[in-house]
Amino acid sequence: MTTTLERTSRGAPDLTRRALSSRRRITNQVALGAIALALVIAIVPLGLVVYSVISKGGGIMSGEFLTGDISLSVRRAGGGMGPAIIGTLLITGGAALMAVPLGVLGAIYLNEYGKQRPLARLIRMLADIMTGVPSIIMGLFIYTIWVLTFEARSGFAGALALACLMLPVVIRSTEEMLKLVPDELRQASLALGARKWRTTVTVVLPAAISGITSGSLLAIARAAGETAPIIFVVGAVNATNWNLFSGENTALPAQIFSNASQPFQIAQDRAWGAALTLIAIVLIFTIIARFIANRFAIKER
Amino acid sequence: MILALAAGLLVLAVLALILITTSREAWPAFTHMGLNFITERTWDPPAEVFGALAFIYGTALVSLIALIFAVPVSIGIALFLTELAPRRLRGPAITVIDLLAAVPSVVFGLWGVLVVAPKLVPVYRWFHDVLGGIPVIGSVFAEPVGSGRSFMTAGLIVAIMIVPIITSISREVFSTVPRADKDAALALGATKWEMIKGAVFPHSFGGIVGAVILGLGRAMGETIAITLVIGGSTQITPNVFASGNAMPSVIVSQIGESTGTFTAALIGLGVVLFAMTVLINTLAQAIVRRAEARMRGATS
Amino acid sequence: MTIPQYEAATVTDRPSVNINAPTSGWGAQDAPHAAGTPVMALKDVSVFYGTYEAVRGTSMPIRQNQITAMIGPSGCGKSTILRSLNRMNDLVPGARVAGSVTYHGQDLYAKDVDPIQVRRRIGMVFQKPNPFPKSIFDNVAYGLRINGLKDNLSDRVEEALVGAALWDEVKDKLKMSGLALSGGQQQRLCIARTIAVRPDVILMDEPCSALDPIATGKIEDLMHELAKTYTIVIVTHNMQQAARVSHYTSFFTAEVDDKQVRHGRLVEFNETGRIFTNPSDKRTEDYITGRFG
Repeated sequence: MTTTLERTSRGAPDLTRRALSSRRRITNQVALGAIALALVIAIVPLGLVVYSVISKGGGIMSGEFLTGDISLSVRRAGGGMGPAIIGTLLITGGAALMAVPLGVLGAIYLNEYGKQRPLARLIRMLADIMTGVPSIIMGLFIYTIWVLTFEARSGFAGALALACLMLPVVIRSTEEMLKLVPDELRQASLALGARKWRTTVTVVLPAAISGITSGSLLAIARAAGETAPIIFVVGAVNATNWNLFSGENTALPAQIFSNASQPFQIAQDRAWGAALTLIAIVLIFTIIARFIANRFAIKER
Repeated sequence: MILALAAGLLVLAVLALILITTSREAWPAFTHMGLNFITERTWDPPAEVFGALAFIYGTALVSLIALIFAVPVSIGIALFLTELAPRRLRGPAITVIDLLAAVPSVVFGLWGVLVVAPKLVPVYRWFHDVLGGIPVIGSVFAEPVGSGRSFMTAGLIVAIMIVPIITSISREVFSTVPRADKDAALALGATKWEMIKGAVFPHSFGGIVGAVILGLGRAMGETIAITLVIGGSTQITPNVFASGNAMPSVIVSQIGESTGTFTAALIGLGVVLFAMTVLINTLAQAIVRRAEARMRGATS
Repeated sequence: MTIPQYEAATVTDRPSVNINAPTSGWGAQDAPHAAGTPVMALKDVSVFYGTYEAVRGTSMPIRQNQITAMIGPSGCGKSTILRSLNRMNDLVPGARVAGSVTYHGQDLYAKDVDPIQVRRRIGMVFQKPNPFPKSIFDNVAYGLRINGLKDNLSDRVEEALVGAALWDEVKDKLKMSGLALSGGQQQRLCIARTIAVRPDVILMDEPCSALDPIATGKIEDLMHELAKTYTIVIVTHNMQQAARVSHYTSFFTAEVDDKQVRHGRLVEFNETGRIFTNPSDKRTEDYITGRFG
C-alpha cells in the first residue's frame, strides 16, 4: 500500500504518478478506457449500417429506380420506387401540414397562456407521454377510427397516423424555442398597446421561427422513416397515386419492409435501394434542420 | 387564445380517443377470452384462441436483452461526452449519436435480417458450445435457430436503436451535476473515475433510472425491426437464440389478413401494449422530474 | 506604466525567513517543522486562460501552521491564484500557469507531478458548501475510501468530525444526508471531509461568504484551531475576517493595462498586523480604509 495517513509534511512528499497505488491507477484507466470504448461500440453499427446501405443500395440506384413504377415481380429485375417516393413525400407532407400548425398553436397555448396552470401542466405531461406511445399504436388508432369506419385505406390515413406521432414532438420543441424568446420583446410590444395575440404573432413567433422550423423538420424526418403506423392503413399500390384522399398508396418504409421479407435477391436489392433513398430523404431534412438551427439560432443567454 | 387552447387539448383528446376506440374495437376479443387473453400461451386464430402470453414474454425478453446491452454503452457515451471528451471531439461524437437516432427503424431491420442475423449464427453456436452444458445457464444459451432470427438478434438490434435516447437523457442528467461537487471530489485527490463514482453517480441516479425506463418504453414499442429479425414463432422458451414473436410484430404482420374476433384480438394486443408503455413512460417522467427537482434543491 | 517590484519588498521585509532557504533538504527532516517556515512558495506566478493573462507576476510564501489570507476586490485574481496552488486550475480548459509554485521545494507543475497527489496533500474548501448527496458519514469517509484507508473507518470519521467541531451536533445522525444540515454545518462537514485525509495544506476559497455571522464565527474559531495542525490559505472578500483570523495577508488588486485589459496583481504581502496598520503601498491603504473597492 503506497498510501498512508502519515502527516505528509514529515517525509519527502512524493508527488509523482508512482505515488498513486497501482490498484487505483489501473481502475481509473480501465474505467476511462471502457467509457471511451462505449462510443466506439456505438460507432461500429452505425458505420456498418451505412456501409451496407450504400454498397448494396448504390448498385441498384438509377434514374429508372427513382422514377419507375414498382415491379409486380419479386424475381425479375426492373421497375423502381417512384410511387413509394411520391407516397412518402405526400404522406409525410400531409402529416406535416396537419401537425405543425396544430403543434405550434399548442405550444403557444402552453408558453404564452397556460404557463404553469394545472391544465397546461397536464397537457405538457400528456404530450411527454404521447411522445412515448409506440408508433404502431398510432397506426392501430387510425386503423380503428378511420380505416374500419370508412372501410378504405388511403394515403390520408397514413398522414393522420404520422401527424399523431409528430404532434407532441412539435409541441414540446416549439415550446422550448418560445421559452428562449426574451420577455423584453413581449413587453416592448405590449407596451405599445398591442394585444397579446398580435404580440405573439408579430413578435414572438418571428423571433423563434428558425428554432420552430428546425424542430419541426426534425420531427418530419423522424416521421418519414416510420413504417409501423402506415403499413396497414395506406394499403399498397404499384403505380403512383397522387391523390392522398382516395385510393391506396405506398411509401418507402413499407416497400423496404415487404421486400426485406422476400427470399429473392432482386427483392432484397430493391429493399436496399429503397433504404438508401429513404436515408437520403431523412438526411436532407435533418441537415436542413441543423443548418437552420445553427444559422438562425436565437442566442441563448 | 381559444384556438391555441384547442390545439393543446388535442393532445388530451387523441390520447383519450386512442384508449376509447381501440378498447371498443378490442372488446369482442376481451369478452371472448377474458383474463386468459394475457395468461394463455396459445395463439390459434382459426380456432379462435387468442392468448398473448407468448408475445408479452417475447416483448419482455427482447426489451431486457436490449437494455442489458444498451444501458452500459449509453451511460458510457454520456460520461464520455460530459466528463472526458476534449471539446473538439464532443461535436463529432454528438453527431454520431444523432445520426444513429436518424436511421429509420426499418433500415435497422433490413440490415438485421439480411446482414447481421446470418453472421451471428456461428457466434451463437460458439456460445452454445461453450455455455450450453452448464445447468440453468445452458437453457438460456440453447441450440440456435438456423436463420439467426431470434430473441437475441432482435434484442441487439433494438439495443442499437435505444442507445441514442438513453444517451441523450443521461447526458442531460450528468450535465446537471454541479461543478462544485466534482471539484470537491477532485480536491480530495480523487482520480477522474473516483470523481465520477463519488460525485456524478450519486447525483444522477434518479435521472438515469428515468432514462433507462424511457429506453425500455421505446424498446417495447419497437415494431418493424423486431418483426424482421425475431423469426415469428409463438413460443415461450428461455433460449435467447430461439425464434419468437413480440406484441407489435404480431399486430403488424397479421392484421392484414384478419377479420372479426381475430382483428379484435390484434387490437387488443395494442391496448395491452398501450397500457404498458403509458404506465412505463408516466413512471419514467415522474422519476426524471423528481430527480431534477431534488438536484435543483441540492444546488440552490 | 511601469510595474513596481513588490516581490523584493515582500521578502526583505522579513529578513528572518528567507522563502528560498528551507526548501532544500526538506525531506530529510523528520521532526515537525517549526511554525513559520514556508511550506509553499510562489515565484513570479502568472495564470492564463487561453491568451488572457488573468493574474500576473505573483510571488509570496505560504508558511507552516500559519493562516495566510488573500484579500482584494473581486476580479483581482485571488481565487485564481488559490486554485493554482493545488492544480484545480487544470480543470479549466485552456488554463495555464507560468512561473513556479513549489511545495516542499518541488515544482507542482513539473512534468512528472500528478495533480491527484497534489490535491491529496493540498486540500480545498469551497465558497459554497458542497457536501455530496450522501450521508454525513459517507461524505467524510469518501476521501478515506478512495485512498484505500478502510480500516478504523468510523474512528477516522469521528476524528475528522471532532476536528471540524461538528461531532457533537451530528454524532446521533451520521446516516442523515449531508444536505439536510444547515449551511454552516455543511461547510464544517466539508472541512471534516477535507481534514479526514490529513492533508498538509488547506485552501479555503471564501468559505464563509454563503454563511450567516454566527456560522461564520464558528468557522473562524475553527480555523484558529486547525492552524495548530495545518497550514491554511484563505481567500476572503471580507477584510475584517482577514484581520481576525490570519497571520499573513496578501493584497491583490485589478489593474487595467494600456490595451484596456484587466489583470489581477499582488500589491503587497506582509504580516497581517502590518498590512492593516501600516501598509507600505498606497493602494493597500486605500482599500483597507474603504476608499476603494
